[in-house]
Order: sequence, then C-alpha cells, then structure tokens
Amino acid sequence: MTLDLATISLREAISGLNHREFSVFELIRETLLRTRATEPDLHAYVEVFEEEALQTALVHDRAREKHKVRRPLMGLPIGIKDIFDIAGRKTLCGSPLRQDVEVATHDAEVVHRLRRDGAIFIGKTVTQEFAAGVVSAPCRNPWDLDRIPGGSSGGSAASVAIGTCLGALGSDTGGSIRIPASVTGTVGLKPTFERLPVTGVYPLSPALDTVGPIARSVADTLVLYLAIANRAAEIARIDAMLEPFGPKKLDRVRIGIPATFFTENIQPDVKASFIAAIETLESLGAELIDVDWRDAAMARAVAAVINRVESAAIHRDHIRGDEADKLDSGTRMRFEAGALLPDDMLRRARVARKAARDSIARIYAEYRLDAIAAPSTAAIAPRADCLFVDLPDGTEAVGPALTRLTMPWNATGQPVISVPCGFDADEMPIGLSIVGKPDDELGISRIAHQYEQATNWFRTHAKAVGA
Amino acid sequence: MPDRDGSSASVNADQFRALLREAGLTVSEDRAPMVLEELNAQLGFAHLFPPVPSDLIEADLAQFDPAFPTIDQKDTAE
Repeated sequence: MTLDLATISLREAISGLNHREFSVFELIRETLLRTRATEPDLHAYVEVFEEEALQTALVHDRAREKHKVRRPLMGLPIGIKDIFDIAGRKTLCGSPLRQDVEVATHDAEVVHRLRRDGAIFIGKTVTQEFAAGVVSAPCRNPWDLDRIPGGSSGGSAASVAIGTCLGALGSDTGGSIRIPASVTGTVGLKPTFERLPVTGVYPLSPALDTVGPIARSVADTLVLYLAIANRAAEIARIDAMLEPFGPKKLDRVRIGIPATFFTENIQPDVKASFIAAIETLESLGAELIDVDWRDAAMARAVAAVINRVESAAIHRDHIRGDEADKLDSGTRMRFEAGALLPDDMLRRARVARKAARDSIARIYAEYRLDAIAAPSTAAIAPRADCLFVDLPDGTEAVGPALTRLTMPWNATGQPVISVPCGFDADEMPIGLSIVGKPDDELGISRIAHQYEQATNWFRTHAKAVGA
Repeated sequence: MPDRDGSSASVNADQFRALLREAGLTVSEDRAPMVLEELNAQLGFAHLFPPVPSDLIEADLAQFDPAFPTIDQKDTAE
C-alpha cells in the first residue's frame, strides 16, 4: 500500500501499520509534511503539535516493535476541534476572548478515550467562534478555496478532506458535524443526544450539544465513534457490523423519504443528487416510503430557540463586559438576541420538543421505518464573501440555508450520519443524511455503508491545495 | 432574560430599546437593526409551538430523553 495522504483511509492506515508497510513515524511525518504544504492555503488548524506528534510516533513504534503493544487507534493522526480540552493546551474556541486562558489541565473525556486507544493528535482544528455558526473562518474549503468549509467544525472536516488527519472530532448543536461533512465530501456522525460525554468540551447549548467523529468513510467514522463511546473492543468486528442486509445489500430496509420540508426550497443540484441517491437506495433493495413529518418546521424552531437562549445564558458576561467588542459581530448578535427572548419562549420550546420527538416516533412506528433519508443541507458550500445563497424561492442567509435541514434532528436527538452523494455543476460536494431511531448509530452506519460502497462518491478526494 | 409574555410575534424599535435596558445590554445604533431582526426572527418561531398544557409539571421540562416513547399501532392511525 502506498502511503498517500490524499487518498488513504483510516482503516487502510491501520492495515498498513499492522502489515508493517510503514511505521507510525512515517505516517505521522507524512501527515505533518502535508499539513505544512496545505495550511498556508487551507487554515484548517489553529495549532499543529508537530514535535509532540513526532515524539509520540517514535514511542508508539518502539512499543509496537519491542513490546508488541497493540491498541485500536495506535499511531493514527487525528484532529481535535478547538472547543475540546487537550491537557497542556489552551482551548481557544476560535475567540479572541480566550487568548489569555490557562492551558487545560485534563483531556476532555472523549479526547482521553482517543489518546488511551493510541491516537496521535496532529493539532487543534479551526472552529467558528464558540461553535456558534457555519463559516469557520479563516478555514477554507479544500474543494474550492474561495468557499467556506461549513461549520462550526469546519477545520475538522477540511483537514480530513485534504488528508492532514485521517479522522477528527467535531461537535453538533445545530448541524456542526453534518454541515461541514456534507460540504467537504466527508462523512460525519452526530450520535444520539446525551449518549456521549461532553465533559471538557466548551458548551454552546447543553440541551442540544453532542460530540462525534468526521472521517473519510462510514467505516472510518464508525471506528472513531466506537472509540469515543468506550467500545473500542468492538472495532475488530466492524466488517461484521457493516454487513449487507441481503444479496441486494439493503434488502427490505424501510427508509422514509420526506415529502415536505426537507425537500423544499433546496438548490436544484442538491435535489437532483438526493433523487439519484434515493433511486440508488431503492436499487439496493430498500423499500422507500413517502412520509410527511408535519412537525419538522416546529422541530427546527425548537432547536433554534433553545440554542439561542442557552448560549446567551452561557455568554452572559461576554456580551455585557468590556470585552464584548472582541466577539465576532455575528456571534455577538446571536447571543444578544438570545438574551432578549422572553422566559416563556424557552418553556414553550421545551414543551414543543417533546411533541416533536413523539410525532417523529409515531412516524417511525406507523411506517415501521429503519431510517429516514434527507438532504444534509439545502445548499452547497457558499463562497466566503457571500452572506446569502441562491435558492429556488429566493435568497437565504448562509446560516439558515445550511442549518435548516439539520436542526430538526438536534431537537429530536436522533442519530444522523451524513455521507457524500454527489457533486454540483461546480464540482462541490453534496451530502445525504441517514437519520436513525435513538441509539441506532450502528443501524444507520450499516445503511450508509451499503450506499457509500455502491456509489463510490467517497473515493473522490479534494484536490491537494498547496501540496 | 426578560420575564414577559412570549405571545407577541415581534417587537418594534421602542420595545427593543426597552428590552435592551431591562437586560442590561448596550447595542450600538449601527448594530441595533441586525440584533432586532435576529430577535424578531426567533420570536417568529413562537407561532409554531403548541400551547403549554395547563397540567404541565415544570420539573418534567428540565430533562429531555431522546428515547422514543412506546407507540401502540392504534395510536398511529391518523
């Protein structure tokens, strides 16, 4: 196997290391060289841990050779979004307000689990300030440097897409894993709400915050998910977990196709890719069922209001203190507006949240659904200098255009995986979301894997900017 | 957060200034329209929410469990 960071997957790297085709040191050195070459254009990292990564690689190689130590993620280059604590490093959250914070004393719990399983951290990846937004400046999209990588986990997705790490951690409060995954041609998994620990992760909205992986394939994403879910022992059985459902691959799998909301006012190329995707699902033996979730708009509103009110409370002092001017104007505006919402809005949103969960549960039960398929975003990655995107019904601000289809699932708390499903006319990636029942991360990964393997979109990689 | 009725769909510029004072926020004139627009966008979501049940137990609202409730098939027929 050639050690080509432009194309190699995380599982291929595990195989290459196990078969001694390259050492951990060689893998990390190549990753860092690629990082040096691409970062001047991409800006995916806040900080790169070059020396520490190389030293750790040498330690891992010695442990492998002399002591036959094997750990599930041993030697794999991983990026960590800069809202997760890494012991000995500052957690800057993309904000000038945190330039003077002390270094973290402990790893965030999920970071600890990755480190324990042998991952090597390449660096801290760029986040939208306090994870509140979709632009992720100054990071750019490796498919087109004039475009944004989505957010708020934009640096994580961009670094995976270009191959300056083979997997990364992100967080998802309103779509912040799935949006950047969708617009950078990577795979992102938002797990079920509250099933993974968020200890050591800077909060945006605790009633919605989730953490999860971004990687280059469904199988790679599942490797990282199992590690951060404290289930690394199961990584060896991933091939069995992702087995086809039958000879056609998705035999008798029941997938709901939204008739409304998720298919309304989306860019024509996004719609065309979604239609092609559901035709592929059907050709693989899936049974497609039209569903009409009438509470989807309400669920989006629930996530929006809870997010705004809770984030305003967390940043109460930031928007009132002398340093408020240091906040990005868009971030500050979100927090200020959230602080002005009446108490009753949060109460009503919480009531509506349970109603939304119950109504989607009834749809899954009534139609005996295994999953729902929907476009991940209404639009492809917007240009960095555009505040609005063009849609069939007119223009829409970038934030709502990218979060409109992701937020309902934050309200219900269901697991969602976004996989590449094609490109638009400008060769920008488009994502497909597979939405599962609560705690069915493995089920949606199994479905997404069959689709991915049948289409091969995930094997098309971003051009190597600066490399 | 101001304790006021959330039923109004939007606030005007005068109400906005009053809210800012009440919340202890300072928003410059050039930024005010942007914040007001965002506030009204969020307030606009209120019409999508169902009424709060009269027998609501407040403590039940604090926690959210994403697990689907058990659904009887007869309950799904609409």
